Parts: sequence; structure tokens; C-alpha cells
Amino acid sequence: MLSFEQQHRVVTAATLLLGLGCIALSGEFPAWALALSAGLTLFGVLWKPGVKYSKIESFATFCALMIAAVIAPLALTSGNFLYYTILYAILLAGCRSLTLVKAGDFLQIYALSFLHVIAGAVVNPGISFGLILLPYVVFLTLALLLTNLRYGLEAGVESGDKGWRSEQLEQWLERRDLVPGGFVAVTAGLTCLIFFFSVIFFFIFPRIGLGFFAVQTRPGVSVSGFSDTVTLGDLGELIDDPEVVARVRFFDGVPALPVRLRGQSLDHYDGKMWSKTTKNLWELRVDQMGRHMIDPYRPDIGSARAAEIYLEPLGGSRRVMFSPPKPVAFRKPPDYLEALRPHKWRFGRDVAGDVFVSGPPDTSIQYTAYWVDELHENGALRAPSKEIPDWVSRLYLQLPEVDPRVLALAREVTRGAKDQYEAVKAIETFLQRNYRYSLKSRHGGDPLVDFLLNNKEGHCEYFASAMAVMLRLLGIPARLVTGFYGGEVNEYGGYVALRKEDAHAWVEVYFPGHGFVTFDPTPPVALEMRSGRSWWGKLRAAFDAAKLWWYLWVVEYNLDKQVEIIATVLRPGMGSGRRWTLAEFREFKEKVKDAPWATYAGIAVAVVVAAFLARRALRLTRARGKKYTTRAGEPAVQAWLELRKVVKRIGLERGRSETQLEFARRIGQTVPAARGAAERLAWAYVRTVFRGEAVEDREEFEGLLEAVKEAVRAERSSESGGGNGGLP
Amino acid sequence: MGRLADFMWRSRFFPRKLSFTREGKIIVLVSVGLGIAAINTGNNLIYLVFSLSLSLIVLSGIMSEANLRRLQCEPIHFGRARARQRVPVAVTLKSARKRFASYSVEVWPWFDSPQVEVGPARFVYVKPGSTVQAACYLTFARRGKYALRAMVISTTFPFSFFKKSVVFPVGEAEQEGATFLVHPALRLPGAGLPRVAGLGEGESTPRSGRGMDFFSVREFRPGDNPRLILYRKSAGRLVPLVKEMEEPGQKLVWVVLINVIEGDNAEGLQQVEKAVEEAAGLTVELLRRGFAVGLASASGIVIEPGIGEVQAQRVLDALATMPVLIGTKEEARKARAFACPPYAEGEIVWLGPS
Repeated sequence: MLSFEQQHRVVTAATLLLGLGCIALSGEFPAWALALSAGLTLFGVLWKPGVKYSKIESFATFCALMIAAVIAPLALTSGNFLYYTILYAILLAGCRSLTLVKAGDFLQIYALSFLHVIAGAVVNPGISFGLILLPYVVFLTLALLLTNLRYGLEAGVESGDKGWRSEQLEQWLERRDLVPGGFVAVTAGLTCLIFFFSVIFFFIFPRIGLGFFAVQTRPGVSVSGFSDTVTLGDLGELIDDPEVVARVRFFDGVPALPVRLRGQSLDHYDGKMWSKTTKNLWELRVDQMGRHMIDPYRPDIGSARAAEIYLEPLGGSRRVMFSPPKPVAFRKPPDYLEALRPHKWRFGRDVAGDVFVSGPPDTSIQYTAYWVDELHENGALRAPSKEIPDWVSRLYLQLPEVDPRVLALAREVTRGAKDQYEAVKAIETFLQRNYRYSLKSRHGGDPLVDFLLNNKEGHCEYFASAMAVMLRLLGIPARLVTGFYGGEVNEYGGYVALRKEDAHAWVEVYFPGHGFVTFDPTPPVALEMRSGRSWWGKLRAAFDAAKLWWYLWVVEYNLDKQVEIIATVLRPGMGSGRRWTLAEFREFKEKVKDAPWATYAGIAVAVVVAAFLARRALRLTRARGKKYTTRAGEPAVQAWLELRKVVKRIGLERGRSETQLEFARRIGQTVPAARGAAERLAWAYVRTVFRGEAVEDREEFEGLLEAVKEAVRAERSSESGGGNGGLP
Repeated sequence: MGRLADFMWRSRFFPRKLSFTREGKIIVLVSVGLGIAAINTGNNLIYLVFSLSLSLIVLSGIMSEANLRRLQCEPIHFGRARARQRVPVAVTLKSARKRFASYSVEVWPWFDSPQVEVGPARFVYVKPGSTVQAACYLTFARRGKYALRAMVISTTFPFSFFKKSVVFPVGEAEQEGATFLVHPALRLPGAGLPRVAGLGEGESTPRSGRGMDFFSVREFRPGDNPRLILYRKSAGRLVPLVKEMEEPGQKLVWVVLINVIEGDNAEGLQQVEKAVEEAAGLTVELLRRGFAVGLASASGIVIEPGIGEVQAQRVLDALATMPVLIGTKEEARKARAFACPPYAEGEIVWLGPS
């Protein structure tokens, strides 16, 4: 069992380290600073100073000033004040933890720790912040409670010389029985209440302001291979990275894996690198349902399937909208304050049909994608070829100078093909069967020729590039497409998670009259390797589900979601399962606007006033009851009340500000013979009513009362006698 | 008075008094800053920390209220105190709660005077249903009568952000017992004991005892020997009278206090206060040495000479409430002339403004 001092210091150390952890997990600050501060914190908090307090304080102040002297110029020269301020707060915690002696010192260090948490909120938006915040609140609560006890001890014990602790206080602090048994329960209860109130406040505090509608930003996820250019070999770097990039929740249930999410197509190949030349965008039209239509001439998308996609923030302000192949429309959740936001979301498409969105940088995006299924093996694809449009030929038949052996190979592979579809399938099958999937292969010279003719192993980019080039050599328009392929069903969140390692490249081939159709020449070996879920995988899935919840309901919680919650409460059935249409929102807004707010306010005021009056009335009744009702039967009270009646006959009444004893003395001044009896009755009354003593000598009271009556009678008779004597 | 009236008014309608501690002010300021930062940046994690700080504040209020519920204390009682002397006074706190304990509770008396420095009685832990006692410390800056207006129970539980207090006004019936008499501090005259016969070096200083010589006749007081009652004289005056006998070698000293000043000036008042303290110190010292001491003053208050502890209390009680007369030069002169013992016997020590 630790002493009170040890308990307090251990709890303080935990609080401080958790506060530092909020910042440390952002990865933004140097490890040496964090380690130094944590080390000093542990040393300072767990070490009890043995030298004079003033010396330690001077030393800590000197250190703090020195650090400030070093950091201030750095902040001024770099202009990054926030970074250096937080860095200073980190190091200051180490210095201040050396001077923990009095309760005030502990509170100062908690304030510093709270600043760390605030800094963590700024620099660390990840779920790690939330996970650290939970134990932090528990320890902070306990630390504050212990400090409160310490305050009481310090105030109760006289301090010794100049703030140094007296021996008596030392003895108190060393006691092991100082923390009462119920303290743990109090802390637990308090912590639960703090969480409860924090959640309530967090969700109800309106997310509105006056012109500062910034949105929550997070560091973008770097996914090479999704920019406008892809160099052969880029995607290979991502294969081992398990970071989730996109989460897809299908409206018609979780589909069979793998899931394919199409990103953008690349049309230009220079022998080593694919790039996009179709950069001009035009804005998508929005239909009545708030959907951004990719093809404005195809308004009927009734048969389209839909999925909600949560896309992590990817680098850059212009971002690809991922969707299953053949997307037809996209829809962003309603943003009622969009007109006021400095960055607006704009959807645009290029001539290739790829959809991009521009909006606030470094933010995640949540949207619904609509797509139609592709019709492979359909006789339509085998129909006699129509003429290829010029723009398609121009964009998708472009080739650099290619080794003639590649053309020969392509012709060889497609020798027996009767139509374009069979030719495409032949090349796809040829590559899948005769080439090996490998992440480690290296290709020198012309990488594609090396892959096709020599090495014969590579990853998806090589397979897709080889197929696209071979098709183009044969005069079939084809393009390379990047996206994600694979996924992992997250049973905790009910979605499919796509990770960086699911990054993939494949081919889209143009069929006249049908548009582009997906073909994937990469052998599906990697996906088979990923099947099966260990306990670690399940843990990872649970963590990812928690992470999504954190992002959706904490980091990216906004006014729209508040409206949604209110709507769910006010109109059951309108919850997260279905989005509001604009008309429904307008209806709701009108209802809110037309509500009789004045009446509600009046009722609220009336309720408050009534409660106040009722409380007062209750208190007065209780007070009266205490004075007159509960003790009314007591002989002393009855005798006193009788005495008041008696003396009232000679015009004596107790004043409002007069005590019983003062009144008795006044009676004595007017009727000296009644003085003793009146005072004794007053004392008996006071002892009975105010001290709760049982004064039950009824006979004595009757005797005293009789004495007063006698004296009053004598007084009255003398008064009347004196009056008669004065008559002429 | 205004302060007291305000306090009492509030205690009547709002029986809880809430004040910020230094830490409370800091957390409120931090919360305001966080709120502004949250609205300005739209950062939900700042909203989260803001919510956390708000809930700490709200819970602080709720828990302190819960901590004070059903705690009761009774008005303090003590005999007499001396100015500028720290007096410990027992405070009793009763918890009428059935389940939950109270933590970090302070109890202190509220006087109708800024002259009282109060060190609250502190209770780290009050078990439910228990009655506990602790000492509060009172230091009265000046002599006089002090009326206890209320008992206050306060707490900074749970987070030391606020100090919440509940006021228990002292009832009318209890006012009598809740008025405290504070004696002046004891101070010997600046030049030491005055030249009083019997105090010189080498001379024996008579001690208390029963002498044979007649000293005086006075009214019977509690504690007097009933055998000394003079029944005939008492029957004639209709009050019991006793004769006082002089100790062997006992001397009578009259301490005459000139408690009058010309005009309402602070320096004069200070001098009178000093004289009152010197009178108190001298009286106690002379009585300790076995002298009979009487007190006379310019305001007409006279304490007949007497000996022992009882006489000391009598003189100190009188000095505790001794008024300071303020008048014109002529009035002051007359009052000074009036300041003399009722009969010319014993030695006289004059104390007052120079």
C-alpha cells in the first residue's frame, strides 16, 4: 500500500505521461524532446526533493528560461509559432515536474498537461488521441481529487519556514490510510459522469460560427500511383502497406470479394511512364435527387447499384472519385452550409469519363457512388465492329516506338481470334497463364519489353501495361486504369476495407457502341494469399471499425450530422439509413421556423418561476413547521404562547426583530414583578424550539405563567387606579 | 454593514454561495478560449476537449452541491478571547447522510465584522451519519463585542475549481449566546510598571490571603464567602453586602483610564486603544502580584477595587466594551477632570492619551 504522497505522485506521473502521449502519437515532434520531458517528468514526479524547495524552484525556473531563450529565436525565424509553442510546453512539463511540493504545484502541472492535450487535439486527429484521452480523463480526475485532499491537508497544517513543508504535514502525507475506502468508487463514478457530460456537450454544441466554417483536416494519405502520372514500378511499393484508404458499404449487402474500385484512366504511354492528357474538366450536372450525373444524356439510372464510400484524405486538392467500374453518378451528403464555406466541393469529369472532385484540402470525403454492372461474355461485345470515334483513336491508340517483337507476340497470341472480344480475351488469358506475378522482379532497359520477352514476371502495372500496349499495337483502343482491387470485409463495421496494399492497375478496352470494358490480365495470386483471418486480422478489423466511427462521429462531426440526429429524434425512421432530400430538409426547416418559440419560451420561464416559488414555499412551510408545528404541543411552547396573549392585554407585543429573551426583558421592564417568570419561560421556549431539548416541567410552567398573569393583573389595576386618582 | 446585509440577503434567497478559486478562474478562462478556438477552427477535437473542460466545471458544481447536502453545524460557543490572540474554538459538524461520505469540508463562523480573522475547521472526510469535531481558529484584531451571524460550511470538492458555501444563519434565540466578548490585548506601560508602592526592588510583594484589616463594603458577588455577608447593612439596603478584608501588606491601586479624545482623529483613537491595553496589562500584572485593583474612567465606568481572577475578569470585561469619548477641547477637559476614583484611597495610575 502506497502512502498518500506516493499515490499522488504516481497518479500525477501517469496523467502527465498520457498528456505527452497525446502529442507524441502525432509523430510531429522530435523524439528526443518527448523522451527528455518524459524522463524528467518521471524523475521529478517520483523523486521527492531533499533540498530546499526554493533552490529547486530557482533551478527549474532557470531551466525554463533557458529553454525559452533557445526556442523563441527558432520560432521567430521559422514563423512556426504553434510548433515551437507546443515544443516549449513539452519541455516545460519536464522542468515543472521537478518542483512538485505543494498542491498548487500539482495543479499547475495538470494545467500544463491539459495544454498538452489541447495541443494533441490540434496535431493528432487520429484515433490514438481518443484512445489516450480515455485513460487521461480517469487519471486527471483522480489526480484532481487527490490534490483537493492535499489542499485541505496543507491548509489545515501550519506551514513551516517559507513554504517548506512542516513535519506535521510530512507525517500526514506519509500516511497510508488517508485516502478513504470509497474514494475509488467516487473517482469511478465521477469519471463516468465526466464522460457522459462530455459526450452530451460534444454532440449538442452547435457546429456553427460566424464566417469561419473550416472543416476538419487531417494529413493526407500518400498513395503513389494515383496521380496523373504512373511510372512502371510505382504500385509495387505499396503492396506491403496495410493502411486503410477506402471503406465501402454496399447498399445491397456485402458482395463477394474481391471488390474493384476504379480510380482514373491513363491514356499516354511513353515507354516507361503512363500519364493523363485529358485534363480539361466540366462540372457534373445535379439531378433532382442531388446526384452528380456523369452522363447527362442518361438520366435513367434506376437499375444502378449504390455504395457509400468513405475515402481517406489523399494528397492534393483535386482528387479522383473512386467507384466500382462503370460509374454513372455520385452524391455527396447534404451540406447545408456549403454556400458559406470558403472551399466548395465541385465535381468534374474529363473526356475519359473519370470523375474528380475539388474541395477543402486534406479532408476525407464521404459519398455515394452509383454504377451499372458490366456485361462481359455478352454477345453484344462480339457484334461486328463499328467505327472507332476519332477522339478514341487519338487518345487510346497512341504508342511510342515499340520493339517489333512485341507486335509479333501480340499477333501470335491473337492469331485465332475471330473478333475484337476474342482478341482481347486471348491476350488477357495469355498474360495470366504465361507470366508470373512478382513484386521483386527488376527490369532493365525498356521495362515492358524486358517483362514480355525476357523476365516474364512482374506486378500488375507490367501486366496491364503489356496488355494495353499489345492491344494498341493491334489497333484496339485500350487504356491503363488505376484503383483498388481486393478488400477485406469488416464484420464490425459492415463494410469492405480497401488498403494501400490493394492498389492495383488493370486495363479498359474500348468496344464501339459499348464504351470501355474492364479486363484484368494480372493473375489473382496475391488475393489468394490474403484469404483467411487470424486473431490479429480480427483485431485490426475491429480497430479499423473504431477508427471509422471516430472519424465519422468525432473528427468529422458537423452541423449536417447534428441535423440528422435531431431529425432522427424528431422523426423516427429518418436516421442514418436514409438521407434527407432537399425538400424534406426545407420542410423540416420551415417547421423549426414556424414553431411557437415564444410560447415555448413563456412556458419555460413559467416553469422556472413556478419551481422557484414552489421551492420557496416548501422551505417556508418547513421552516414554519419547524418553529410552530413540530413543537406546538410542547408545554414550554404552549406556556410561551399563552404568555404572549397575557402581556398583549397591557399592550406588549414582540417586535419582528426582537428575540424571545429580549422580549422577556422588555416585559420585565414594564412589569418588574413578572421579569423572572417571563425570562424563565423565554429560556424554556428557546431551549425547546431551537435546541430541541425536552423541557417538560408543565407544572412549573403553569406556576410561572400564573405569576406573570398575577403581575399583569396588578399592573393593570395599578394603572386603572392611577388613572382614577388623576380625575378631578 | 452593506456587505453583511448583502450576504444575509443572498443567504436567504440563494443559500449557496459560489466563489472561484485561482484554479477555477484558470479553467474557466481556458474553457472560454477553447470554445472560441473550436468555433474558429472547426476542429472537432478541440470541441471534444472543450466539452471535457465544460463537464469538469459542471460536475464541479454538481458534486460540491452533493458534498454539502445534509451537513449541519451548530453555532460555536466560547467564553472570552483576547485581541490579537489566536483562539481555537471547537466546531461540530454533523452528517445526516445515510450513504455517501463528504470530503474536504471547511466550517467557519461568520462575524459581523472585518476585524475577525477566521481559520476554518477542516474535515478531510466525514463519514455518513457521523458527528465530527475540529478546531477553527479565530483572531480578533480589536477588543469589543462580536456577534456571530452565521455558520458557514464550504467545500472545494471535487476539483478545487470553486468554493461552494452553505450558510446557516444564527437564529434569534441563539443570538444571546453567540455574542462574544473580546478583551483588549495585555500591554504593560511603555516604561514598565509604574512607581507603585510595594513594587520597588527588594520590597516584599504581598500575596493573596485573608488579612484582619477591614478593606471595603460592596455588593455580594458569586464566589464570595457567605460568611462575610453583613446582614444588618444588607437588610437596610435590601441587597446583600459583604465586607472585604485587606491582605496583609496589600495595597490598593486605582487604574484611571482617560478614554477621551479631542475630535475624531485616528491618532487619538490609537492612543486610547493603547491606554486600554496598558490598563488591561497593568491590572492583570498588579492582581497577579497581590494588589487590589480598581478601575475608573473618564466615561464614568467604575469597577470597585477587588482582588484575584474574578476581579481581573471584571476589569477586562469593562475594558472590552470601554467606549472612547470624542468631544471638543472643553468637553475633553471636563471629562478628564471627571476621570478619578470615587474615593481617595490607594495609589492612582493615570493612563490615556498624552
